[in-house]
Amino acid sequence: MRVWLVSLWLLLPSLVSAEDEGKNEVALLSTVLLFGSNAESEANGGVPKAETGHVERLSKVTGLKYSHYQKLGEDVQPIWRSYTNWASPMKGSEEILLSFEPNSEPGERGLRLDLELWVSRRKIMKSTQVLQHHKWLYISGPKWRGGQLIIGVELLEPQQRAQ
Amino acid sequence: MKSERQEELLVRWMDDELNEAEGRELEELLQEQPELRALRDQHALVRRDLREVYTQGDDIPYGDFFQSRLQRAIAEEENTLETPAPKAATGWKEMFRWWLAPVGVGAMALAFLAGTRVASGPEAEMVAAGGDSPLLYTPEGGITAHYQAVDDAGANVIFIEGLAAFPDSLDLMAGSRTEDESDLHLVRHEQKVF
Repeated sequence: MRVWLVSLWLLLPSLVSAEDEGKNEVALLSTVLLFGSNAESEANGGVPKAETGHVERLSKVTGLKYSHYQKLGEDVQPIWRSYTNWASPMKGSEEILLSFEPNSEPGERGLRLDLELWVSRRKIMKSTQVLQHHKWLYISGPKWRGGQLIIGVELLEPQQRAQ
Repeated sequence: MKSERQEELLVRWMDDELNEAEGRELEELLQEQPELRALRDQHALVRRDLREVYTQGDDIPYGDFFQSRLQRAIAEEENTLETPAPKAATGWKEMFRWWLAPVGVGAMALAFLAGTRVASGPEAEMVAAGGDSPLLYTPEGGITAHYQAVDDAGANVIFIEGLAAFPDSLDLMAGSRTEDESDLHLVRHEQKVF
């Protein structure tokens, strides 16, 4: 009897957490922190170049068009059904953070998302919009070292985590 | 018919709660005031539409915003109703003017809920994804944001203006951080007042 009770006590937390549907992943949010500049930055030496896809897209965006793009960091986080989650595209830094939570059920083409941009630990912008699959959202960030920080956000299906 | 009884009958009539005997009792009053039927129809219409748009058990979206709008509307209605009534008004007629407030507020709630329901439904997502601009909010004064869909790039962009530059000395890769809120990273202005 005592063994039963102990086992039940140990299993209880996992049973309770399993019932919390609010923690279900409805999608994934891929975030990336890019640095655009018109001169190859020596100060950011060793930082990898941004993927070609980002370069091609951003080169068509007036206002974010630069000759060089580097990728400072990236992060992929789950979008929970009922909870706010955070992404930190610059790992180890709190200067650029994103918080997000769903505002609708995920549909075939996307998900309505409440997205907040935090810069230097202060909320700068909140948006409510439909994020579409395979369509990046870029947010212009602060100027820095002669260039500009650019935050990229993409909606992923939950099964795309490992890709 | 006593005024209190008239009020009770009118209230229950509005909510479709009269039994047959009470209905006959009220008929006398309706013959004197036929315009009450039109008001009741209006009330019933709002109530029906509210039920269609808003199902019980759903969380009200943007609850704080909705509540503040509702309170303001009620306050405005109260101000309107506080104006001196014509001397000829009887007790139940005075009471009946209060029905105008719920009907008006109900219509506003209906419009709000219909809008949010459309906005959060799957069909509306398609509409929004097809070109509607997102809602953008910038709490810091002096900072603005605008949205641009760049179709040929296959991307959308939010441009944020008024954001102060990071100092070159800030080493993001090393995880260094800004000193405090009063440093150079943000231009501090007064909070926006809505």
